[in-house]
Amino acid sequence: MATSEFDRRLLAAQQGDEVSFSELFRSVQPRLLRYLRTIGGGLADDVAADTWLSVVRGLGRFSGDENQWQAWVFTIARARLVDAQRRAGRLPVPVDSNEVLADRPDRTDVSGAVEEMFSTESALAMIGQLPRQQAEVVLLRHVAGLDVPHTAAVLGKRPGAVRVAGHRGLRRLAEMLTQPDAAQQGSRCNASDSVFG
Amino acid sequence: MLTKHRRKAQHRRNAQDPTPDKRVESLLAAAAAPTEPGPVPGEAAALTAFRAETSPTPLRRPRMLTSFTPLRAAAAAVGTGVLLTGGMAAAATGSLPGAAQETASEMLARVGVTVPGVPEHAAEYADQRGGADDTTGGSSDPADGAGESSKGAEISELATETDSTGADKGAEISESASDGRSKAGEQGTAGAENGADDAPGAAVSEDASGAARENARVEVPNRGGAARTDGARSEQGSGASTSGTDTADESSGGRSSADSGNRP
Repeated sequence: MATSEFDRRLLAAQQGDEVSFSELFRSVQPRLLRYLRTIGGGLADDVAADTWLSVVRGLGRFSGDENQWQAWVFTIARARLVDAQRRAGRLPVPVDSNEVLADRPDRTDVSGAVEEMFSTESALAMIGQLPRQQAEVVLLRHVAGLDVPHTAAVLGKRPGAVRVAGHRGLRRLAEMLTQPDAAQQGSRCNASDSVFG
Repeated sequence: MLTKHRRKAQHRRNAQDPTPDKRVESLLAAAAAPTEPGPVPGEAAALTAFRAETSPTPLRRPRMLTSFTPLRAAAAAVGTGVLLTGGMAAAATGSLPGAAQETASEMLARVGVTVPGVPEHAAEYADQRGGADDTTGGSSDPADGAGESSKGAEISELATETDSTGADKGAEISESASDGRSKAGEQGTAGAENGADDAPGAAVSEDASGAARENARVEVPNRGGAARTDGARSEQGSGASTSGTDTADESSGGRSSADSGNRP
């Protein structure tokens, strides 16, 4: 049913219906912004705008289901982000780990207050401390909601490499949560990995 | 209940993408938390781009209007004026081709301008206007002039109403169309050395060669002779054309020398 609803919206949007296009936009844009802001920092909003320009131009030629639609939009966004970062001549702005972790409770309180521990911004900031490839896989898999094949398609990697990167990213996050110093190390690792990533 | 295949597939997925611990799950859930209802950032810009892309006339019309500058308009007007002036001058001097001159003369006469009509030399060319029912110039012979009734209609009527068939019909139509100058159907072996100017069977002698053919054709419109010529023609190539000779003799009262040219 969801697929048929998506098909209806897509067809209507391709025929010029603004309401259907807005529905498609709202189904992707929040997750797209989270991905771009985590990976691209201050470039996110401009990259998102460029992404939707490209989406609008290519909307009439697109065909596929909802997963393919999301993968298509994220693929465009990632390409635009890479271009923007090249033009800017700088790497993604690293998140200040001290600021992110300032609200973290003491380790003794973790066991009873896990659910209240993270806001969306702080969770994304922690993911942003991962090496670039791991952060992208975690974001696309768990924030954007793409499956492994579509994540691999967005990143231009093999599915096996995506699974490995995702596994390592989650393990790194677990280490960062259990060992406060690991977060500091993770932040440093993030900077070094990003240089070579 | 999961089948064995499904359990294997699930086990494979768990092995490659293991479920994170509870704290990591909480972190991922927070990262993917639903957004608060309200306007989504960037929606207005995306809708503007969508409208611009799907608009049926995306600002192309004004561009076309602005590209037509006064300078280009003036150049186009000058070019049009030169063409019209040149055409008028050519029409006034009568130097246009026959059909064009005729058309120009007619059109300009309606607005009170007199220019020469079709020049004399133009009559030699088949560039005059006209149709099948046009009574002002439909003749196939340019020398007939514009006042003669339609020759084409006459020939068409002859073609549909004649009783002749085959080569005779063609010869009759061709002769009528060419006013007697056509030699269609004149083929045969019966000869006629002299003109037989006064012979009723002179047409039979048309199948012979030389001056006799011309004289016979011009002087005597002989139907019977023409019909008998077929008999002479039927034996062409067999040497002597005895029946044709006999026929010619009979038709000319013995004065014809038909067959004399067919002797080997």
